[in-house]
Amino acid sequence: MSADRGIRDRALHAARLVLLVLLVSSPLVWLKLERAGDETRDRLAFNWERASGLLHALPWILLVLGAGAALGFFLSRFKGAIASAGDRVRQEARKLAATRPRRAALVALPFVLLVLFPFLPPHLSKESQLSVQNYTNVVVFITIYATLAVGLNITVGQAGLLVLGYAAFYEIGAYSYAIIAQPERGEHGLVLAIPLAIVASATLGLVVGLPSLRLRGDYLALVTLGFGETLRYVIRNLEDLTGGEMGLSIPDRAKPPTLMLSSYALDRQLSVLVGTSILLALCISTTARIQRSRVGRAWLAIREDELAANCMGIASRYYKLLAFVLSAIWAGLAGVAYAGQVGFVSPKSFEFDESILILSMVVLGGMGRIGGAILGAVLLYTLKWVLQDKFSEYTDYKNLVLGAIMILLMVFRPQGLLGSAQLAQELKGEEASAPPPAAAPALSQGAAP
Amino acid sequence: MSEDFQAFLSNLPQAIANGLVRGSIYALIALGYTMVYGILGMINFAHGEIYMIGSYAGIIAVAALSTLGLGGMGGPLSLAVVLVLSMAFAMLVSGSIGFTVERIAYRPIRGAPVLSPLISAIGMSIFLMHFVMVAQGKDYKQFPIPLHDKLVVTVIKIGTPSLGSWWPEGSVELTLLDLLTLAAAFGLMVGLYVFVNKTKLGTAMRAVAQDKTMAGLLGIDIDKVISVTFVTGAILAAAAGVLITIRLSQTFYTAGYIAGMMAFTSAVLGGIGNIPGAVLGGLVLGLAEDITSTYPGGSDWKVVVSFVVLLACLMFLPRGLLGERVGERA
Amino acid sequence: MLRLDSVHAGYGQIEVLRGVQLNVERGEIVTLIGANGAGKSTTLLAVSGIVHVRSGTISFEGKSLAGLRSHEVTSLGIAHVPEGRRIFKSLTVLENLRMGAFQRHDNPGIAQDIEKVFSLFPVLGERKRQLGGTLSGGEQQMLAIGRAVLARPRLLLLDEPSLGLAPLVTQTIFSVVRELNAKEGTTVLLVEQNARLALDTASRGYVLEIGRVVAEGPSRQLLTDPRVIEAYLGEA
Repeated sequence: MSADRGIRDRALHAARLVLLVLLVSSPLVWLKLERAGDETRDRLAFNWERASGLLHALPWILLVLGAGAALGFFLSRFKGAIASAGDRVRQEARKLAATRPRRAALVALPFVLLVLFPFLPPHLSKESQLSVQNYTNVVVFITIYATLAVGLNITVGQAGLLVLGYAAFYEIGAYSYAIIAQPERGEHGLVLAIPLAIVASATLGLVVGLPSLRLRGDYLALVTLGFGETLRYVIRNLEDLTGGEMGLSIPDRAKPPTLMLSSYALDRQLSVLVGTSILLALCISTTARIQRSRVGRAWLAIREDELAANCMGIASRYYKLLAFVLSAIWAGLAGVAYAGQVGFVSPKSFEFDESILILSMVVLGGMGRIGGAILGAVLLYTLKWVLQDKFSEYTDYKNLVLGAIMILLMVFRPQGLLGSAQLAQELKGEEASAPPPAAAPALSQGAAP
Repeated sequence: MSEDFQAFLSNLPQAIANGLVRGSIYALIALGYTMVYGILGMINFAHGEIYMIGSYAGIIAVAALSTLGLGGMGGPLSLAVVLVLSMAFAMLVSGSIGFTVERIAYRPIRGAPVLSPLISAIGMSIFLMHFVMVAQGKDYKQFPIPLHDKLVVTVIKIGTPSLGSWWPEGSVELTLLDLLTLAAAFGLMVGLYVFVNKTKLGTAMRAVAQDKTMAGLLGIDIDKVISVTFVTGAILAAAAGVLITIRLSQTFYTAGYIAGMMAFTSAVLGGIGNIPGAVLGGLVLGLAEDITSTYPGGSDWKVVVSFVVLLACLMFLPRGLLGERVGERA
Repeated sequence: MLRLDSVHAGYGQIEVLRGVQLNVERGEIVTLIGANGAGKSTTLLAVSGIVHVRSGTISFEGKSLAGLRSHEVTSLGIAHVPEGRRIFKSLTVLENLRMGAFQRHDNPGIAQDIEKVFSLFPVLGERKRQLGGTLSGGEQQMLAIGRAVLARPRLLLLDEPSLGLAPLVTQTIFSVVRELNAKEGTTVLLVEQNARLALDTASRGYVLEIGRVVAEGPSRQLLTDPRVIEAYLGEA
């Protein structure tokens, strides 16, 4: 009875919000500015095409809404059953992953399968080879983004430092490679690019990190964002070195070498995939190791309460800088991988959207969790790719969907996919004063005669 | 003295005038960031898009009036009435969208740690930007009445006799539009100041910013006050959107990104949460931007310079020019 | 007037109130005493709708307060002066007082009540243009009570008004509370650590332990109850 009323209230609330959105968005949706043949200025007209289009889509919309409502009803009806089933699954999983190596293997398994998949079918028709190549390309990017997400998770998730301009480190890595690969600079390859990218990104990490030591959360976010934007402008303006807006392409001689598997030469894509997989594996293992070490615990302390951490003798400035530099290095290496894969860099590839995409991966998966960052990277990049490649006629809607998903996710699961429910409870807890400590009973036991 | 520098000096007074106009527009947008930050402690990333939507709504209103044959070129309504009506419509649209944004994306996660509302806000920003792109198309939208570079009202000559022999000759040209923009922007800011400091609702806003629980105990409806804050910020952003559209005579669906970032930088520069600070920060950034652009080749570097200004300020004053003013919690 | 029936409430996983049972009649001063963490403040917060009530009912003048948010509770005629005063530090004394009257629209009446607060606490009148954050602890407590008075409440919830104050200031504040009760007929539910002071002021009292009422009765009776004396009055 009361559950029914809860559902009805919630449905009513949702309906009111939908109505509000429809009403508020109507001027922009239904009116359009158009120019008739010889006029010089726009006129306003009702958007009839959209109206008829919507009319045609109406059955689908109703179907989706109906399915959503049914799902919502179902979920709230069988909430208890679902929760207990979830608990059982979780218990089983915990049993299965009782030891650390087992747990690591379990986490790695789907990933290994994903990476190995392109290697599995060796001889294919020309057509399907193309799709394998396409697929390899996607997997390469997933590994690159997973490296980025795990790297960003060091600052944002583990040390609690909000970095909004992460693409800057990624960018400087990619440009390090592209610049030394130019013919006039000797067409150097990965051997020089990798150390250079490490040095460059670590230096940038220091440069960004140093002024941030004094700044608190949101100021830090803005400063890192400003650094990202500034670097983009600097790169755009230093045309002699960076090619400016036109970007730089990497000549064939400087591209990553193709690997030999006994006598069988892998194609370049697969070779890059081997490289990015190694990079990701390195990134995950060292990051996980550091997270469990003294350093990781220091970051945790700083994230929870910097003042208290300082009082306990943790040199927070040092650890914060360390987080910046480590995080920057992974992004720099990912940048080298990106340049090697695409063979071309330009400022357009490292805009603010890119930083946001990586940050969303971290938050989506559950901040502070390496597995979460990887999961977020896999899901978001796949989503992006599907929207872009498979629904290319709807490509305009790609970012619309991405934005909506980010909002819905934060509203319904602010702790991220792998975050714990208990954390969510704490986050949503009452604003009032903290729970008082339990009192020693005086009347009922001790003092009673 | 090099020739470049001579040219720079002679253009400087004009750059200062332009910078003040630009800065007052940044300030109008910055107020929305600072008010929301003051009351919720969150960066409303979607605020730049609210401003952009205001600029579209302004164009739609003017186009509607001229399509109906009421205003614009040759209609019965005077230019001033058309502009006022379009601004009112833009405020209505942006205000209601600001209200909706808070209801949908921020209210359900109030009290969550900083990052969740921030991601939600970034999602909302991406959503709104591309919503406008899908709904209104990917082309630039022209302001239906050409107003720019008309209506020059005053030219102030600045020359050798008045400033000593080292100052090259130059002049400042102000259009009616510049003056109108300045007047509208500062009128709205004064209005906001009075609203926040002298009215009951404004005082309640400051009270909620400091201690939400206590404000609730005194009978203040916190949700309502927060909604009012969002709507007020959106109204100011809409005004900025219309003013800038008239000046540039066009708008675009990504217009909110750079403007929003500059305005947010202004808010931080002035000390976030601090209303006079946002105005000061906006003016400083506007001036920095236009003065840099005046130097030959400088316009490529204006974003960099703005950022360096911010960084320099934060190095010495970590809480902004006038200090932040977020409610101290007990 | 105010009635709590087996109220259970708490924070997150922790249950603080475990079936609190109490009622306050019109015109009374009732006090709630107990050790730290017994649930005294939580009881008041539950009435004000800040702490979520899990089971049991709270009613005021016969009306259930279930599901009401704090500003709705206030509009029924309940004012709450929470622990720690919670003055708005960057608002002036006058603005703080006006916020107390947020839901009232009778401007002459508000002005009159502000004058009344100034006559009860003359020091506030002298500092009316000063920021709340610049007041001393005692002055802040006076302001907190004055702010509550401006809501013209029928029931005043007072949480630890003597906390951290000099004895003389405490006396002033308690005499004002008595005066409000006697002259204006304001009902008061008082939470106080200083059990003797509380019982001297109130006509009835409840003793709270680990979320339950373990003793109740007229103040005079509690003052002579040996268990109360040993646990809370600190004398044999």
